[in-house]
Amino acid sequence: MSDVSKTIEEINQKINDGSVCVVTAEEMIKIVKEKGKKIAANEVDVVTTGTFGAMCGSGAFLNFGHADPPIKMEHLWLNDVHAYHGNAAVDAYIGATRLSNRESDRGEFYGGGHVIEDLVARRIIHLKGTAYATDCYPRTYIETDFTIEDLNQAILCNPRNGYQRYNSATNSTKRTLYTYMGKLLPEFGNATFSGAGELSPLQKDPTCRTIGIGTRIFLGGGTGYVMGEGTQHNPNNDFRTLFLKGNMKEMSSEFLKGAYFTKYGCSLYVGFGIPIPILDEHLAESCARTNEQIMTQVVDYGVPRRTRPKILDVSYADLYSGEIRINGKDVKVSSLSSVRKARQIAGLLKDRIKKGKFYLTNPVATLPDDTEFKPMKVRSEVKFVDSIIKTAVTCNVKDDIKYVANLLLKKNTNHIIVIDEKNKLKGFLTSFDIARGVAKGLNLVKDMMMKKVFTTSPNMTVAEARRIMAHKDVNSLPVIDKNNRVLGIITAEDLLRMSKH
Amino acid sequence: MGILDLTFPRNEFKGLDDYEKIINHILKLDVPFTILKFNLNESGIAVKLDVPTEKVSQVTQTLEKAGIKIKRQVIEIDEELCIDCGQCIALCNTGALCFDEDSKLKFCEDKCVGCHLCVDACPRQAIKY
Repeated sequence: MSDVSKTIEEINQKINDGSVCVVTAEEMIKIVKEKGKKIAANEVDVVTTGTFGAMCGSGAFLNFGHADPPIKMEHLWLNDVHAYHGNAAVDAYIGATRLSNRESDRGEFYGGGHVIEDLVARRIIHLKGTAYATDCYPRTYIETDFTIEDLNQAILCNPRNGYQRYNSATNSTKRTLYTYMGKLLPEFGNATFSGAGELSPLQKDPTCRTIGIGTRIFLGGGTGYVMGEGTQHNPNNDFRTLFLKGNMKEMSSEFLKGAYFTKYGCSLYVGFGIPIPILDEHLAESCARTNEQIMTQVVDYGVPRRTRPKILDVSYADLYSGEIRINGKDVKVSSLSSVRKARQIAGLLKDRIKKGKFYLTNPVATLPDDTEFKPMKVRSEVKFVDSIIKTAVTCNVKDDIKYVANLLLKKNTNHIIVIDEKNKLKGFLTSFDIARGVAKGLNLVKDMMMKKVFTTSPNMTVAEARRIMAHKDVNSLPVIDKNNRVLGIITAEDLLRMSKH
Repeated sequence: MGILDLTFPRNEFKGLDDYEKIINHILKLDVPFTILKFNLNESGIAVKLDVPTEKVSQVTQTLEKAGIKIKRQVIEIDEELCIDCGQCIALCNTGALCFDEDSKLKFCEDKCVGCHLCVDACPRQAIKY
């Protein structure tokens, strides 16, 4: 058998005459396993993919048409959710993460993602708009109800969707965290992840050979297109993203669902799928990548910094098993994306292609492969505790008063941290505590020390540490790691010295 | 917080001292708790406790072994709203929430202890009680 080489035109011809062979990404894995990539590439023409997850980078352009007298809306609200207007008179952009007004009776669980779901579900939307009057747009206020049918255009337009990779999230701290990765219980109580693993579009054509500007896709139940690379597209690090658009009037609320993540905010669950043409063996091989071969990393969201520490590398097979092992402990892990919906999307797209209702496209241009994802440029860097930490004067719980009194004088300090043999924090002593100890006739550190100690960690901002000191009325904070080991100390004097005023 | 509605059945206890048994069972677990309500009625000693949400299943299991009846405030899944993402599954300590073979969310009511840890984790607000 010679090397397989097909073109999009040949595949479309097969779609036209009904001889096309389309399989889902999950089916392709089995075919390649049984028959090998060469035969699979020969037999299979298209592999369909699917994903259904919360995609905050979603939104929609809407055109309302003109009222009489006309208005150029300066501010407008759709079901009490502020939409953006900064373009032509009656166009607006509703973003998925925008929350409804605080005073709205829709409550805090409602936002832009829900407006988009309500629109495609053909529900009635309330519009309120205000404006400054001009000679051409004299109206200053408008209030009305409409459905998607009343709009001229409703275009889903998502600047950043379909991440190639997602990190898995967990939480090392002692409190529950509420994040865009869901609810994370304290002390590695659980982990979450996103993406559809072996069904994910960008995992099946990881270098975007066949996905580019103009690629026709399944989007929200209707047809959509890739407009280009998404924001933060970072091919060097395998963090590609896509900029998608599609006609919302053809879409279904089955595949666009508003979401609210407690104490984080709103988003939109978006279902989309990309057909991958099997032009040669290489694409057959990449389309057969399994959950075992698709890797990601578990990172600690307990560190609220731009770069969060990696805990371990895992495969999607590990994640789908429902349990991963972190520091010798079994941690339950669950998905934020729906595999069931992803599978449904891959199946629907397969049906549409087989029935000749969906043709494949050659990209007009490929996506750039040299963009990078840079951090924000900021004028003044935020200072963290680790930048002002200094060595702490410490003593042991078993030491006596004479020793610590001498220590105070010798080290010329007011703060002594009490530790055990393993350098773990046990208590705190100030000169006041020692004076009080003398007055009461106490002899041992463990009887004089304060046992309730307010602490900080190297990754806390200096502003936050300053807030704790002011709030708890203390002059210094021991800096500890997550195992309660003492790393050093920060004092109010250091903070004063730091501030310019 | 997790609210536990406990009853120590009338036929099981001999005197008011048995009330201490409930408390002692929990004290052994080293879990902070608040007694919200305590009364004596025809069914027995009724106690309402507030324990940390993540400890509810541990406390429930211990007390049930000691013969204490627990009125569970089990959750309900609104299937219209649920999108089968499964975020709730890892928050469930008792296996009451899981996927069936089609990756559809399955809720086993008899396993639910009513800890409500999953409730505010649902991005669709589909979990109610």
